Amino acid sequence: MESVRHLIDWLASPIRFLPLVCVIFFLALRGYRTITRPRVALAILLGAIIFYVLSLLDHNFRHIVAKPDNVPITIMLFLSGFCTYLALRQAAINDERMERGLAPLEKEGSETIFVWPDLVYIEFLAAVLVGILLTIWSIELKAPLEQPASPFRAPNPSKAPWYFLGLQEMLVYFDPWLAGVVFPTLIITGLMSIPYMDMNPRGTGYYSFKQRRMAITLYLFGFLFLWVTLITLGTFFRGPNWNFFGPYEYWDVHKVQPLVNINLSEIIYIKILGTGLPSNWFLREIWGLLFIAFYVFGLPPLLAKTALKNFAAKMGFIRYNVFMLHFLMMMLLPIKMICRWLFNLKYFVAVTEFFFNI
Amino acid sequence: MDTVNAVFFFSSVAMVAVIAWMAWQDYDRDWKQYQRQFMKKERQIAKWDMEQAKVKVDQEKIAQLEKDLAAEEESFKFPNVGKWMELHGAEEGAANAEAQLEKKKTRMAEIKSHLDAMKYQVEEARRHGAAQAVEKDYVKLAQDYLGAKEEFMQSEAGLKKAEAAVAALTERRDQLEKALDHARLESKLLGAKIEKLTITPTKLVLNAPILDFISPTFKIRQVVLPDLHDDYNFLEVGKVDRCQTCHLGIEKPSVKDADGNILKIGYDGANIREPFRTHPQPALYVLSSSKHPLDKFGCSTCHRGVGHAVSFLDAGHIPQDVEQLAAWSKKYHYKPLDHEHLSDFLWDDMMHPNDMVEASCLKCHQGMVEIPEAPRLNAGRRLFEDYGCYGCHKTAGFTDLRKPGPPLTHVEEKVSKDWVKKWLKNPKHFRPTTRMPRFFDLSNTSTPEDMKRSDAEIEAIAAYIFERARPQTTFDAPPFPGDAHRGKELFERVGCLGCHSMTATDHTATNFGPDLSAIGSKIKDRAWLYTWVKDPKRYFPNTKMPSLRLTDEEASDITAYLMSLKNDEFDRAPVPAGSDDEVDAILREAWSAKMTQAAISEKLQGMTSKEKWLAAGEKMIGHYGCFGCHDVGGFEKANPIGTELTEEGSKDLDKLDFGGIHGIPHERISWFTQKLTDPRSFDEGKVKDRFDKLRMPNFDFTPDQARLLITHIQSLTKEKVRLDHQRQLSAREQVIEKGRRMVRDHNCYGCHTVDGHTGGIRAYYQEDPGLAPPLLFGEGKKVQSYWLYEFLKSPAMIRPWLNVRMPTFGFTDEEATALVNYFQALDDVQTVYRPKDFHKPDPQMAAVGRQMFMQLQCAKCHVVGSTAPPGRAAGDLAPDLSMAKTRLNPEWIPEWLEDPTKLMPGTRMPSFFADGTSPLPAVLDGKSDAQRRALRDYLLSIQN
Repeated sequence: MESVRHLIDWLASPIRFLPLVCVIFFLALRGYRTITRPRVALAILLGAIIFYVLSLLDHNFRHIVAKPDNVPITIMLFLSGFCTYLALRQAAINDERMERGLAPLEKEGSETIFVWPDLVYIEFLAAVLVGILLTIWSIELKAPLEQPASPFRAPNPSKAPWYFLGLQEMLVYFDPWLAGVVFPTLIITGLMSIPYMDMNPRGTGYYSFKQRRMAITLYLFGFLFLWVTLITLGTFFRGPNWNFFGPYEYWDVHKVQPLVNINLSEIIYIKILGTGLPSNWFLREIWGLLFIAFYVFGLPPLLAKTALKNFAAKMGFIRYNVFMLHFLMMMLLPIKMICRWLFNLKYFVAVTEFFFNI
Repeated sequence: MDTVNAVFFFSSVAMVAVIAWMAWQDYDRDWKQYQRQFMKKERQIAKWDMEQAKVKVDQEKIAQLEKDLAAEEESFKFPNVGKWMELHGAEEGAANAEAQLEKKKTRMAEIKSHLDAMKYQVEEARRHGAAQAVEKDYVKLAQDYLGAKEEFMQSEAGLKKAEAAVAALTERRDQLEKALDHARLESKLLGAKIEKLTITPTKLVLNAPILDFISPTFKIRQVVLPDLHDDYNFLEVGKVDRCQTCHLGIEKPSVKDADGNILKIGYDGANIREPFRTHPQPALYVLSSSKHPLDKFGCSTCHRGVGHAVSFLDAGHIPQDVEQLAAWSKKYHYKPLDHEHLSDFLWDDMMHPNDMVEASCLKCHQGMVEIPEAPRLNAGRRLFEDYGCYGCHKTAGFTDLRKPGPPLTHVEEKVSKDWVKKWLKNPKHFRPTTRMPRFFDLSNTSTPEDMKRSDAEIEAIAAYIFERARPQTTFDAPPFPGDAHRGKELFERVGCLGCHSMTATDHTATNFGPDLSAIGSKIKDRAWLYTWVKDPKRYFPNTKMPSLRLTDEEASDITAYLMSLKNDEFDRAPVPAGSDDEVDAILREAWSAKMTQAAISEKLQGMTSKEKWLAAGEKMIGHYGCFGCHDVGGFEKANPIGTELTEEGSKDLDKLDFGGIHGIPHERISWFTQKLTDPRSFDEGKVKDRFDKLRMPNFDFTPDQARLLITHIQSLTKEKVRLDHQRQLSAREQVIEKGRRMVRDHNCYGCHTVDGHTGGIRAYYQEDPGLAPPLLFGEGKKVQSYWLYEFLKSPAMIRPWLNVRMPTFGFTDEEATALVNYFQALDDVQTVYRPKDFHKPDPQMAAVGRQMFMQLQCAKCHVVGSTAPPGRAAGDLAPDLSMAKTRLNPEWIPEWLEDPTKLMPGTRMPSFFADGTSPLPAVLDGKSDAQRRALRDYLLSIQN
């Protein structure tokens, strides 16, 4: 039992956890028809519940999961799993039907149902049930009131509200101006631009994965992997001093982790070239600046001429570039993560003279 | 659809049930239960009171009154038609007059209101010019008003007259009714009280869930204290204490008469349990007649905790001991903070345990040597000072004190190096009662390697101290060989025992100075000791040890005696020693932070062995902070090494490192207890270099001493009370406090009973208290200020038959004056300058006094000049009266003669003039006060 716990703790480290989730994510999308079969889905659900219940026997796990603040995250995890399942299940059925030459399910059942009583009644019922749930919740899980706030004593770990924990996790990899300002703005503009990017006429009005493979994959990658997973990581695996803790590990304030991150300039000048750092910041950071410039400004035209030739032609200049800007920015996070894990990279560009760090 | 309907039905039922549950959750509070229980108790007490009241009431009287009243009522009824008619008529008249009055009043008020409005119009019209028309109307209305007022006043007079007519008829009946009411008053009030305390259907409704927002009878009771504050970091809010919501009997002690009979039952009986018990010290706290009334000071001001909370855990109750902790865990699911800080309450705001509540006194009672009624806090402060905690821990209020230990700048004159090493190894081995703590071989340095290293460190420290020591003075060899036996007698007689003990292990003995039972093993040179006992200030100018004015022979004897006292076990103990390898290791570790190993090796090679030991010694003294308590050459400007404790009582819990100690509750008191009883234990299980290890030495505090010290530490908070809410010392009290400080610093309590302290040395004189140092009751009133000043500067013999001597402390003029002022302020005597011969004895009175002096046989006990009363043992002699003229205050003598025991409890002076009577009725018409004045005048005219 102890070794299983250690294994899970070991697996839960971001360097293993995130790639693992990423692989599972893509495998799951690939085998969406298999995993959405009711029996398979039920088995997965049961597996998750058994894992959860067994884990609750562990003191440390229980302590973190049962915190009144963290209960909604558990609910969110199961709910996002369920909603994804529901959509993919519908899509799998439709895709199969369409392969057989049938119309999607949504087109089949077209008998009229009424707003009253059918819809409003059920809405009201839902309101009553949610009301019951919330009342019981508020009675049983008291608001976690703590000591009076003090400017001299920040809570440790200091955590953002749960829905912002993904953003807070980004702060591990990027400076606040990026993780707190630029990226959130781009998330919003990206979400706003989706309708204008989506030129695929198929798949409207019914569920289908086959016909919207790229759109669904990209969106779910951003939502499930970069948002929900990071919230989960931030909630359950980040403890005092924002150190990483496995799900069965005690959150010890005194835990020490080695801090060995270095900048790109140090990797190039000290590790590879063996010279000292140039004193001029521009010279020092030239490699990082070149890399970023290439990533943001060089890559889209290059791809438009090569790998994404058809795509770029279909999208048109403006649409293509807006899409690429958002896509590349989204991918910057996993890229930086990988660089951090593989090379202990702190910053691509570290102009500490005026706080321009990427 | 049917399924949905069914789901809807059950959901609705569930919704109702959940809402009811919510209402119940909101309603069901412990404090309501307590109020219900308390109401029951109050009802029982009221019923008991009712029984008592019934016993007291004169039932016959009430019956008679009732009978008389009934008869009187009867007299207005049939067949007394005449009387009835008369009363009826008068009553009707009164009713009419009242109706008339009401009518007139209404009319008058109406006109008055118009008149006021008109007045405004007139004023406005005048401002704008043409006002004649309005003024005319106004004058007319004013006339009307006067008329109406006149009528109203007439009606008023009419009503009074009519009422008087009725009263004249019913006078007797009214009187009887009043008397009856009066006789029944107490039981009537108690009846009303019982009714109020009984649960009725109305009350059930008022207190029902949900309905209880209207006007419940069970409600939160609170005291609002806008002048005292709770600090919530970002703002300070007025204190609101709701403790009485559950502690309902806190202000209700039993009322007793002078004989201790209970007049009114309260909540201080043995059978009353918390939360209903009355405050244990109602005379001092809570009651409105006490010095700290509840409505001015609240509860959490002293007890701390969360005053506005109304549940047991939220309020921050803290268990007194392990048993209570166990009981509370069961009853309230109380769980102290543990290693994981998992608890349900706000750990910053826990209450003080009962034995530490006095910690709260300090924030208002500042600038006092001893805070009144706070023995545990005072004891804690005293321990803190005596053990010299302030030497290492800077603490506001303790910054001007002398270093607690003796100087080491010329220690080589006093002790040998070997003795110092053995002493450092374990001071208690030499002297079990010493306040010097132990630095070595403690819980984090007890492995064989550590102990070896400790020996090397000791060697280094001793090497440094002896190298830096410089001769201070010369020492005279005793001119006589000295007789140890005589020395012992002398030692026990002259007063050394006022400060020093000779018992070695008795922790309760007087411990102002060190225990001397093995001093011969310490002092290396009898010349040093001889010089020291003769004149301590020669070796150590700041010493508190006074001179007893020993003669050369006496000093030689005492020296011989003290040098003969040895601790053989200590003498035989091995001397700690270190090798050159070890000193290298110390230096390597010390320098490794800033130097490479190669550079260190090079540096070490260039040093002689002696240089190495000195360098290591300097490092170790700096590390252990020896200079905090002792003057050490080379460390004159070093800062103390400990944590500042000025606000230690407010220190955040997460700043207290529990290290590897997991078995104790993780709250403040446990941490301090652990730190004080085993200072190094938080290193347990830690990986640390020797220089990084905890270094607070072990003082071997007992658990009680630790709690006293924690009480003191808890009093050092950053809480600030507004200056006008603190206790302000009057000018007189400030003089007293200054004197108290001196009295304590010079250990006057060691010999004298003064200011509430019993002279410690009296314990040795139980057989013959007459030989003990004098009691100093009313000294400021008794003696002349200039005499006292001179006496303090240079003590003169008053009772030559006493062996114990008043020492010469070497007071400066300022110090002696402060002490004189202190004694005078204690007795509330005004300091005034008076002519030397301001009291001129009346020769005639003096002659009478002389005659009385003979008759009362005063010289049977009192020495007069060179004449001592024959055949009296030394302990039975009384002071030399020939000194009265220069010593005693003339006002004091007659007062003293009247009742000596009143002024000085325990005196053996008989009272001749008790209760204003006189033993000599023939003298001065037997007038007691005149006789006492005569005696006084005689005493003041005796020439010496």
